[in-house]
Amino acid sequence: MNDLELLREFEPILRFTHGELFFPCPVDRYVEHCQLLLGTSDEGPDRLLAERGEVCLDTLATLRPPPAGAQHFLRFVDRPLEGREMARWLIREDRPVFSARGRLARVGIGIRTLDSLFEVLSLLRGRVPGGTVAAAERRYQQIRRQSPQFPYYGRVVRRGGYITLHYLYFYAMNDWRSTFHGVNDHEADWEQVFVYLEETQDGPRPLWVAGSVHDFPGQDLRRRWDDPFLMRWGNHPIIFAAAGSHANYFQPGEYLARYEVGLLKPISRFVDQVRRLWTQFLRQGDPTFGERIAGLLRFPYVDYARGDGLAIGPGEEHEWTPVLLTPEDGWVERYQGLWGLATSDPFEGESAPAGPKYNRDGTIRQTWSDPVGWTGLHKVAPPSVARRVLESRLGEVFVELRAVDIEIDQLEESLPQLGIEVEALQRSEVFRSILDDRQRALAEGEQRLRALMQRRAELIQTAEAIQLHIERIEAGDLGDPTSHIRQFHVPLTKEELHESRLAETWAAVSVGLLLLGFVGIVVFFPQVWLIAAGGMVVAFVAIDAALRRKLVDVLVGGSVVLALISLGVLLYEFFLEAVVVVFVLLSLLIIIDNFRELRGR
Amino acid sequence: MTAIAVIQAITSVSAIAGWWRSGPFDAGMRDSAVYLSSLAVLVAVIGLIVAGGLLSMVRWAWPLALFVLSVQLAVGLWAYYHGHPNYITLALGVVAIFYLNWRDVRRAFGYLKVRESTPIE
Repeated sequence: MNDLELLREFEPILRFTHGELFFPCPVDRYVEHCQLLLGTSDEGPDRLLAERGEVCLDTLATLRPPPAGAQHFLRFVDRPLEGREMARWLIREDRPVFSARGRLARVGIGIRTLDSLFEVLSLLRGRVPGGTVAAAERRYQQIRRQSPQFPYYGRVVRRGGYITLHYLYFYAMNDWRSTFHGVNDHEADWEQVFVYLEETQDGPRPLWVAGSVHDFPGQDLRRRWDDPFLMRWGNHPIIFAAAGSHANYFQPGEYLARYEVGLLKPISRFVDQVRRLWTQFLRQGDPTFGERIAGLLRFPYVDYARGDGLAIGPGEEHEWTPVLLTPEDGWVERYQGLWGLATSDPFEGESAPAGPKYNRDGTIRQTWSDPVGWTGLHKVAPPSVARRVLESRLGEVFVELRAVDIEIDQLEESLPQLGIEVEALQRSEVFRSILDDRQRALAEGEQRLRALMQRRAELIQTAEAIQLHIERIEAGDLGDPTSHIRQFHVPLTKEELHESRLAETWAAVSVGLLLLGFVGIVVFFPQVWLIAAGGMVVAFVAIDAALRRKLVDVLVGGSVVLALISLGVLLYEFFLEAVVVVFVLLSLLIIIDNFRELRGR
Repeated sequence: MTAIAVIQAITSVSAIAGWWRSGPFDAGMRDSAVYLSSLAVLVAVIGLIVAGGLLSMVRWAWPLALFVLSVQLAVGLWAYYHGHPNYITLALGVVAIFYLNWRDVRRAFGYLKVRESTPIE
């Protein structure tokens, strides 16, 4: 099979959510609709290099590198829709209707308050202007009329024992924030799916599938081909693209994505350390408690990957048009600029991405240079290789075992002789210097023998484990397909999806009501503002917890906070006494333990 | 658990006894004092019920115990802030809350969550 045939044989099926506005689109058509600009880091205006209609893929391929501190970028929308035009776009007849429950009812009032502050702050950061999505959607519809096909861009990489099929999908816009209440909007969006194969005598065999989910890297993103949670149609994995963000999921549903603000990352790391101490060392709370605490510093967003909209791929209503990427594609190899509008967003979420090969800063993406390492597959040998590797390792183990056995035999023979010699030398002071030397040799010999015995036991166990594993591989047993996953991306449960209407309404109004309540207390009850404000917060938290059926969790959290404050007070007042008590308790423990030992003799 | 229940019972009984000895609802008491006094008695009565529940290891006793202990700690902290500290109440409350939140105790009362990793169909 040549590379294109390989790509076709395993090409994924993409299922979108009803309401999605942007689907995979041909890059050549897209760039024809873009202006090319040069942006600089100073406050000066961006320089227009080529007007719409003058830009093509060759233009990007032949661009000279930008001056230091500057960056090329494309602009798909130069005039966002406004006023009447925008209204017409909103009420157009063919607009797909998307409805969803609010994301805010899925988290507590504390994080909702933080979220509201973040929303206010986000108005100050560089953003894609309002009305951009509408204008982009109109322009994208023009592209679809010109080129109704759905392309993917693919390449085949043979490295690390795998044949990696790299599928790239280009979208004209990510409208997650504007259309689906998500984190960000940006012009242009590159998403990718990988299928990892191994070469066998019967031809290529699929082993793993991975898909990009926002900027998450690592082994959690891949699923084994025989994983029951990976949906397939023949040789084609089914991927559920999230609405607006186009993140790739393996199961249909709604996913609670947590977005961590860069400024809060140091606090988040500290909390992570504390939660480990709390849950693992002190064995406090339930195992999920720490994760929920850590979640308090991340804002909740929902990725809607329902799979109830348009579908593209084998057996679906729309087919793919594959485009094989080669090193001759200069727009991939040489264009390091952004594929859409560059904003001044410090978090970069609203800036367009660079191409399939590059990061925004011009460095090469790991997904391009090392797709095997990106999902942590370097340490996972394909089964055909695994057997060879295991047999080779088994050979090495047996060689070492033989060497260890020989040395053990020699020591077992020499040590008793040395022991007798030491015994003989101990009989007289005359031989003191020889005795010291022999005793040292005896001690070293004993130590070496102990180490060899230990090593021998390890080697025997290793050999047994390897032999068992070879037998398992021969029997086709590859073990638990999900054992490599540390954190599952799973859709929200039915219970979580069906929050009551009352909870939804409360989530929408509670933060505003709380702020109004504070104002009311300060104005009308200034003398007792502290008690009144505290009482109001407790009441709000209790109502919120009851509506979200989290009363017990909140009660536990509240009681632990009170206990920690009280502990702080006690330590502040009785620090010396506390130290004395700890030492007395320790001493008692030691005495009791020693007495037990005495009695046990 | 027995120790926690007994301490809870003693605390509650002593609170009620103290309230009774000091002359409940004197004519000269301010409204706020009457409310606070009533609340303290209510919490003490609930505390007695909780003590019984903890001894019998019934499921509802666990959150109710946390609630009572939280109120006691909140009142204790308030009193400390106003210069009337009761360190014994604070210390007992801290020990009891950490003990109740200990994983094995939570499991015994059926309040230990298990990690869910199975997606919906």
